[in-house]
Amino acid sequence: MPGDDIEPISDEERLVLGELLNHVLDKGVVITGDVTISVAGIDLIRAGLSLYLTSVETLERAPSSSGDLPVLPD
Amino acid sequence: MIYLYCLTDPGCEPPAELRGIAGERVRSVGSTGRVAAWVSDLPEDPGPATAELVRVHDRVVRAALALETPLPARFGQSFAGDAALTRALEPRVEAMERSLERVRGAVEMTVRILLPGLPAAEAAEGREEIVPAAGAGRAYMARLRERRQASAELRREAEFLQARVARAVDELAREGVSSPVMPGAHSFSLSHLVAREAVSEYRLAVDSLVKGDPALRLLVSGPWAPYSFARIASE
Repeated sequence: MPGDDIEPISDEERLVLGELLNHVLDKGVVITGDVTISVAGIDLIRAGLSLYLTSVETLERAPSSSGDLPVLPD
Repeated sequence: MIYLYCLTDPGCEPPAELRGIAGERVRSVGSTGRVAAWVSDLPEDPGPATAELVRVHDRVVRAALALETPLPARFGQSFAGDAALTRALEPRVEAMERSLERVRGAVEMTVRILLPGLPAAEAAEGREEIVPAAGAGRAYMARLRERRQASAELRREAEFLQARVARAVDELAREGVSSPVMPGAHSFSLSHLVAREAVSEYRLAVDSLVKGDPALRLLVSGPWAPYSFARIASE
């Protein structure tokens, strides 16, 4: 089940994964439209993550992804 | 088959140890031309998308971002081979060069804005059926009206929050785009193209916005490769 992917991870990881999917699946250069990897299954994961967002109470400090997304050098 | 990760300036070579989908080595195609592409061989159908495949895609793009700012490709695009990819890129080389120039030295930062709970607005999007009971016409109309108002209220609130965030960070951004507020959404996002040296300042600006108003619910993520700014004109 694609939805199982989100079970074993922490809250912060869920938020980071949600942002990752939003960036990588919906945006970026499209060269062919010849998409060969079906993203249908992953929409279930996204739906779960989106629902999860509704239960986020306060997050003063972003899950800034900064743990695994270091600020880059110039 | 080859799988496409991103477009770069020629001469931006993937690190030798970089591996992509199916553990295949990432290499650069067209590095003697005007625009190059980072790809890896796709020995077999990788099957449907998984979170792990998406992570691998972004990991490769991020490796390029560590060297210079690439134009990330949307997930899931593959080509018959190097020649097929080169043919597909050829007519758009100038547009791609312009796009690479546009994002040079910058990264994408994203602020997700969580909307205040407005349950009535959700209902307005049809999650709950309104069944007109016999003889209850007036109540039915009143409920419909209520839902429409809640929905409009949510949109106004979203616009207001968006303007506040935009005011706080606009000076730090070269460009900004917002994701549309979808019906029934609980959040929407603003993405900004930010010079690498301004990333810390961007974070501080959002932090101080939240400190000034604890009711604001914002999530910052980044730096990303400029996925939201990777449009090429001929698309």
